[in-house]
Amino acid sequence: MIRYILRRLVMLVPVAVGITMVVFLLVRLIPGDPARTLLGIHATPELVAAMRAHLGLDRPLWVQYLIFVRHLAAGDFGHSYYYGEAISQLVLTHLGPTLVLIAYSVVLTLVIALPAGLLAAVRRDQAADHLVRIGAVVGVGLPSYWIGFMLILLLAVTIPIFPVAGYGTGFPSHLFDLFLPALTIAINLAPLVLRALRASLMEALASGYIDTARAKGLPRRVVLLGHALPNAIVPAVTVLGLNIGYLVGSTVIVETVFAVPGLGQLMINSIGTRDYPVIQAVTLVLGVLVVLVNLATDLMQLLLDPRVRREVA
Amino acid sequence: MERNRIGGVSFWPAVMGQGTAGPGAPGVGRRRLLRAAGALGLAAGAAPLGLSGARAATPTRGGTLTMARVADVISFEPVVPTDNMSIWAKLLVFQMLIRSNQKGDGFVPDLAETWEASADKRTYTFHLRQNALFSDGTPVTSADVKFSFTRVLTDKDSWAASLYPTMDIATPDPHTVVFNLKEDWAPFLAAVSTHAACITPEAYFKKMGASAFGEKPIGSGPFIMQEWHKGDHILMVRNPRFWDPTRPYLDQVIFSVVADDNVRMLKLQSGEIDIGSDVPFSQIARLSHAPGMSVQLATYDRIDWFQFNVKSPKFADPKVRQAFNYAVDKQAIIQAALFGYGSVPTTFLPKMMDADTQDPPYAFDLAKAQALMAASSMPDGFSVTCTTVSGDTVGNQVAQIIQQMLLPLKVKISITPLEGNTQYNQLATGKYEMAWGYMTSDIIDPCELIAYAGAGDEGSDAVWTFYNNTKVNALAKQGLSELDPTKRAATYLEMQRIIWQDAPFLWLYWTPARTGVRANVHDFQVLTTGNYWIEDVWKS
Repeated sequence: MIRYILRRLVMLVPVAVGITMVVFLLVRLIPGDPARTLLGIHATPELVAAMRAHLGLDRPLWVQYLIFVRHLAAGDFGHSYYYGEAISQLVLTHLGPTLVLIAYSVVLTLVIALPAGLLAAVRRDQAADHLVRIGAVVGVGLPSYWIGFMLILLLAVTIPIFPVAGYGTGFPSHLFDLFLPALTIAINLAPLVLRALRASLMEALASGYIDTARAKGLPRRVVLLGHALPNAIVPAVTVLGLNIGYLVGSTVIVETVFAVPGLGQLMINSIGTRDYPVIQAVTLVLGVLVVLVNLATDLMQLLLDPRVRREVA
Repeated sequence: MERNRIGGVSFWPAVMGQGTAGPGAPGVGRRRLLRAAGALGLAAGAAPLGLSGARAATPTRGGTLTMARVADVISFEPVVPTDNMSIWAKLLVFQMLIRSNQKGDGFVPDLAETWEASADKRTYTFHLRQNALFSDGTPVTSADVKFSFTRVLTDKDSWAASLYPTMDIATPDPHTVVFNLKEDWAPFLAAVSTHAACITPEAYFKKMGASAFGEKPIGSGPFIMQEWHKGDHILMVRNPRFWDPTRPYLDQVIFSVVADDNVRMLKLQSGEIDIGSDVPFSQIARLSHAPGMSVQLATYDRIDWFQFNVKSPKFADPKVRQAFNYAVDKQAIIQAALFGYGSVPTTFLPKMMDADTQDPPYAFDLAKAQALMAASSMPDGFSVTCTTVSGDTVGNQVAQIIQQMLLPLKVKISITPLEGNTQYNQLATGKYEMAWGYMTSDIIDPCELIAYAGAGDEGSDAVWTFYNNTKVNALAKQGLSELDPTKRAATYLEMQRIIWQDAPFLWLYWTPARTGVRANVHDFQVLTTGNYWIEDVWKS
């Protein structure tokens, strides 16, 4: 088991290397020059050349890449062109809100998807099932920025329960202020989880061991939650894990709408200013995050499903 | 000032005053401005745009003011950053020797209590306040002033150095600073009031270094920068050692970052914030009627345009460019895209000191436009690409309107929205035919904007239109050293008329600064340079 985890962590390295190479190249391919951006209207050709030299942009690409990797190996992300600040510091301060937002979104997704999926599977083809399925289609189809605004209008302006936007100070305030943004993401994500859960629950409920359990006289709740659900949950969790990439990406939009100072916001701002080192650093961090979350999802599978455990051992 | 939130142009207020405050009561000028803004064609119906509370009541001490702005500060280091957010925040933490007044036509004391110039205007002497202290308790001395100015003049990343003449700075005693100019320099006082010339404590700055100082600044201004949560908000508290014991009234000021326009306005409406900057044009009328708040419109030195690349054969002939200016109905655009909150420009500069406001604008005259096109080098019209910034609703709307308005000239415009930085970079490398642009000012003297957008030999190629008129260039230089204000105004007027005829831009409109303010906030005002004197603000 430990070996399995270690093996997966080791595989993280080539993934990280791949990410750095791709981002490094891509970001330098898009039009726009950080030197000119920094100089603004004072960008005479001489000053631009001097600034490019100052930022190290006049060296050949492969030299720039090697310098970047060498610093990275020493744990140094470099300094932001725009802010001048050490990027590790910048990333650290922005990482917190994003992590909280992601975790919160996952929790809310499960809070919505689990009961809804259970309800739909148990009341299959009845009114409740149809309602849930329609709700799922609507939820996955609505764009996240629209959902965000509607939630703000409803729960922050018309009925002023939550703040309109922002992050607050202090952890309880963070949790309260992040409810609407997390809910926005959850509304898009829950339908996918709940449909997978519904499908696998229906399959589980139709299988032989459930008949046995019922025949044994076990109460309905035990049959459902103790026997059917554990077998059905694994695909649902897998679906959640597969969509983590989407989840991380959607933080960019949600953080902008709700003014949350997270990595998404940092990413958007640094792309706008062509702050290459920050873009590289944030992409790397987000990429590693996605890989780690996928690993966590697989570990959840191991935890939940003894059959997978046996395979791995 | 900034352009596209990247880089900046500064232009600073008129220079010619010497001594103390500008004329007139600030309140009167302000009301006149608002009425003028109203007269410039408000949307149908009376939209009551109020001042945020007249100064009838006595200011109350205490309270926290929360203001939401579109972006975060980059650094509190005064010399290098050119983005508005940094500029307008640092002006709460530092003082300058003098600063431009609220009307934007003169200077008032700040750190310097009084000042005088020699008869030949080559020697300027500033007398500092005796009781001025930095927030850490150390006294502000002439050595700190000299240090601060030396940084502006010599730092390798300083953008403001070109605003100053060759000069040396003497400090005969701890409260006197003498500038000895080596050449005639008309905009000297304006240069001194430039936001880059904030006074920083020499010892502390040297100990920290520029980067660390930018994170933990110390100044002698009304507020102290206490906490900075990057990307989220900045907390400033009252400076108990500020030279004026009656100011500031507020205990705390919070600048929060809310990039999305709609969300910012919603926060203002719900009372979560006290002031919201940059009210979208489409929401001004609605928000003016919202309970508990009002929308302030303030004269703001800004002008928007579409610019031509005059190196392109399509735009090489001035008749073509003039035809464009005649064919576009600017007033209609202001009504449609700005809901009436703007005015038609009469010069290439924003409406500021020495701007030509006496000559008529380009009137909407389709017949004249067609005649000009027929007589030009492109009588059969042409197709042209026009770049805008994607996500800029107003700019793209205006582009579409212009697309229609230019059809009678047989000009077919294809609009290409580009990501902000990309659009700007294409502009700045001359890779465009027609592009949207604008400029704003930090200060009220026009000479730097003239160097940026008028003169063709000052490094920016006239905002990369590549317009280069030797007479204009000569007049621009002349204006710098012309000490007589009347003659200087005449020089600049002649220059503006030439540029107006040559029309390297399709000038669109002058727009006001639009700020939403809650009703319990008093004496808040946006100056013509876009900044705000929060030490005067109080809450009831």
